[in-house]
Amino acid sequence: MDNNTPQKSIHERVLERIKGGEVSMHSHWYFVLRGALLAVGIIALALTVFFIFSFIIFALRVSGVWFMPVFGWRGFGEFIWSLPWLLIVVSLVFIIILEILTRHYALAYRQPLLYSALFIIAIAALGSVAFAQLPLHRSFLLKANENKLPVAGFLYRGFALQEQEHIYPGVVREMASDGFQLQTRRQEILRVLITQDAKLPYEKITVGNFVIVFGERDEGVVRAMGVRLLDSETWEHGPGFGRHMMTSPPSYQPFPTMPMQ
Amino acid sequence: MPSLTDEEIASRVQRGSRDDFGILMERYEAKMLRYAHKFLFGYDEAEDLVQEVFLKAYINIQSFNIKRRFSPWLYRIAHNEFLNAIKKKGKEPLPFFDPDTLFPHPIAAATADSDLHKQELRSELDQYLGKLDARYREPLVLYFFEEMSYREIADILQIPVSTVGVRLKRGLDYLRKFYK
Repeated sequence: MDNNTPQKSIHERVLERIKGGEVSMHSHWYFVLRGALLAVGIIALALTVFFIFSFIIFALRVSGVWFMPVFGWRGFGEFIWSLPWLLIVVSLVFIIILEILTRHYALAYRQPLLYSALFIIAIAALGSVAFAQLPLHRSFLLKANENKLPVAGFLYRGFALQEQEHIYPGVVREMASDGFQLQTRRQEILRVLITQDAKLPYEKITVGNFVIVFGERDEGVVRAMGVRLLDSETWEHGPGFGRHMMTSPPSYQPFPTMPMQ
Repeated sequence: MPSLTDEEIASRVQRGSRDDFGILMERYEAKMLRYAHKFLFGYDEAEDLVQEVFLKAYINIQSFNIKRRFSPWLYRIAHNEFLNAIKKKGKEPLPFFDPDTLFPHPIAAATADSDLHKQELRSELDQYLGKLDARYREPLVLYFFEEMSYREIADILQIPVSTVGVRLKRGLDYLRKFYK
């Protein structure tokens, strides 16, 4: 090529490369498949977020941590301290990834990030509530207890089945002047002493009540900072669920019954 | 015979007509070069990059929805290509996250004398474009030189419509500092 040869325009050069077979267009199905993969990825991620959120709520209820905020600042502190922060961080990471994936769509990127993030969080919350209505977590928990849940078993054993310090769910077996005897799901008998500052329910505590006690334990005695009554439905699948199937720890000798005054 | 719209020509390209792609390129070559020169201020590879833009447009032509406008689709490909060039050179910082996209902003209404105002600003922009951050330079180029609407710019940059207004306003504020 000498200096007198006019230089080709951009469109001529590009057309030459196209006609020369140097480049070829992707097929229509390539983009259909890509779009489908993106959609499947978003759905899979959303379902994972629903599962994790609903599991967090389930684990908090079964461990009894869910009920702690009613016991004042100490109970609220216990609640915050006992939250499964690792799972919460993992959920937030998944939500961020969801946000990034959905921003491929005009409906998402045309709105400020705050709106789409709030929308995703709202959907995640609603989806989790719907997910929680299913008996899935309860059945997975029982399977995890028997080591029959290969993948997520560690989640249930680690977060839902772990006994929480300061939280004692059980059934009132006997009343005493300074408290009552509590039988836990593991058939342990604890003596619950009600302190002066303890937060108590409006209704009177009686034998047979399902309760959750918040307090400090010393051997077989719990100094209660708060007691809350549980209805039978909440008790059935609530605090301590699944623990009755675990091997009981060495049981404490029950304290002698205190005479009623 | 009335000339075909860009979308009709793109549809023919999708059905296999390579020569029709040449027609599209002829229509957009000058615009792409102008966009490249104005946005990539101080970069020498404008022509090579525009060539890459057209090649990518051809390779991905089956992803174009003929019910939508061709122009923003092509400009989006150009935006990605030019941004990659800026990142490769590393001459300008490009933040990963832009806080302007986080919150809603009220969009300023266009004024009645905006056409005259636009012409005056174009000549100022030409002088000082290179001094502006890429984040503000690009929407100014698309609005004042490529005459895109806020909505079209939002689709090209994939940012909220309100953020387009914020960036245009901030870009003009910085510009006024230079020529005062």
